[in-house]
Amino acid sequence: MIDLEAVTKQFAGTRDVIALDAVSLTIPTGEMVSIIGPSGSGKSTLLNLVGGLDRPTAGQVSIDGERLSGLDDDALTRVRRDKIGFIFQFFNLLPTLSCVENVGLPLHLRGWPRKKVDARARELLGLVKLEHRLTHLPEELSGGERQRVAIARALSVYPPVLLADEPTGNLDTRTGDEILTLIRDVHDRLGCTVVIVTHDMNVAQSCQRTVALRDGRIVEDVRR
Amino acid sequence: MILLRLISWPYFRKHVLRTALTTSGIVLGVAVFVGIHTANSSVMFAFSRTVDRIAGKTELQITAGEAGFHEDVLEQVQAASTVRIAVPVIEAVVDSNLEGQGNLLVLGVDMTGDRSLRDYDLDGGDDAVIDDPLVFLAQPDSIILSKEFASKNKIAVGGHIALGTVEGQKQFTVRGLMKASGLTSAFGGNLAIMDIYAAQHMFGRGRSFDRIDLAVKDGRTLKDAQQELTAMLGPGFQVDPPSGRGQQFEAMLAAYSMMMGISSLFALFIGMFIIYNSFAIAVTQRRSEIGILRALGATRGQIRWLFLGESAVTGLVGSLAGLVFGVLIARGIAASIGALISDVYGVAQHAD
Repeated sequence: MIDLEAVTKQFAGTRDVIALDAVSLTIPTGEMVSIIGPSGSGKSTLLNLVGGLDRPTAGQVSIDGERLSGLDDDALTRVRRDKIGFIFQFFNLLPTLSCVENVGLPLHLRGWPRKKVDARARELLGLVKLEHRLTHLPEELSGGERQRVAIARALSVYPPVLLADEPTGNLDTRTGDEILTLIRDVHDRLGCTVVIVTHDMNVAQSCQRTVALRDGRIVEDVRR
Repeated sequence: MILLRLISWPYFRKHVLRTALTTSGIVLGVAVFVGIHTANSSVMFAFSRTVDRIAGKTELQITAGEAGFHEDVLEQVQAASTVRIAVPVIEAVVDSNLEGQGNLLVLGVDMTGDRSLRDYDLDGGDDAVIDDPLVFLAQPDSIILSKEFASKNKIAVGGHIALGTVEGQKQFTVRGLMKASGLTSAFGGNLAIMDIYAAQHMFGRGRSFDRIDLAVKDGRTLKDAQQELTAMLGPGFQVDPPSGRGQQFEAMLAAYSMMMGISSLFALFIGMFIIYNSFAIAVTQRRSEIGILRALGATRGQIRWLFLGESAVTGLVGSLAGLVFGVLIARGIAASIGALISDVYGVAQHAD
């Protein structure tokens, strides 16, 4: 379960910006939630806070009852490594690594033995239907294929939480639909909690729940 | 290790130029540093070895600066209770007038006593010239050359060699040749021996000696002799073991060594600057890569070790190459320091 209690995030600068303003939100385990809102509404900030990539100025973020704000940097990294998978708009694959190496990277970071990493990476690439692209570099793949590799990578440790930041934002409609289908499929099969930040209403409506943000506050929370 | 293979190695391959620049920064710094220091110490070593070879069995040497001292001092020293034997020496560096041979170090020695300190190990010629110093006194143009020098220049016993003296160029007659030995290997073999009194005359020393070499009486220590002689001769005289001359020489070359040392530090600094810049650029450019790794669960420690590992590998490769280049540079510099010594002291030192 993901739990946000009165979370505020303020960015200091020449003019302070409040990206999130005392947001409280609970996402039960296994739910697939979309976060929507105009640019600057705080969607990505919320995702970064849940993913432990950033820390709130005030309030608490908990994952499965573990409060992230009380953790030091290494402990936070461990939470990210063991519990969270990230999918980014621009894929963020390492260009010098092959598909199988990209997918295996989080496992190498966990110190898994090479053979086990290789077996898991191949299994996941099979799951996203890229078993024929194992040794290809990202530049040799289409946008949709790259996002599939990124999804396989996000799933490498079978994390209980999958966070996706505009996963279809850089893809054409058809490929976007394919990726969305894949994410839904992964959600159904693995039962993980999925949080998708999106501008795309089709993506948003395909989720069980949609939370709308505006100016750092929740303005709508719809369950289907 | 796996991260180095997965992350660093492809990065190095993709950025060959930057990797080469970083490595060459290290190579430059290490090569110059190693080169200069190796050259300095090898020249110092060569010089000390030469001093030792010329010194023979000499235990202490008495000097009094560039101008030398009056020959009467010898009698005083010979009379000292701690001294077994004391012989005078004049050292003169003269142009050999032979193409490509540079200078020749002429040692003026007292043939009567000197052989108890130095073994000349004559190879050719009439041994009598050495056994009877009067022959040398009677024939002040007599000179003994090292066999190596003589054969290089095709000079046989009885042959002549023209050397510059205070009275202009003079012909000297080769009366003997020294076999290859510790003494003749000093100064790369460019060594000649003549009688000290003839040397005084030829090289304008008047009634002065440059140095007295001595051996201490059995049962007396070097320290005893040093104390007695220092007290007896008073200020202005140095009484040191031959190795002390190496130290004097080292002091003489200190400014030069320091300048070279500063240059090498400067090279090291430039190398460090190149490396620092190169890594700073790399880290900045690889921000997104670091960000991805962090998002995927890399700890700060893992990232730090990744970059340290890269630096260590680059450093190791650069340092090994730097050592190789350093030795090559050392050879070049040793030759240049050798030439300097040649100007200051005598003929070229052959640094190993």
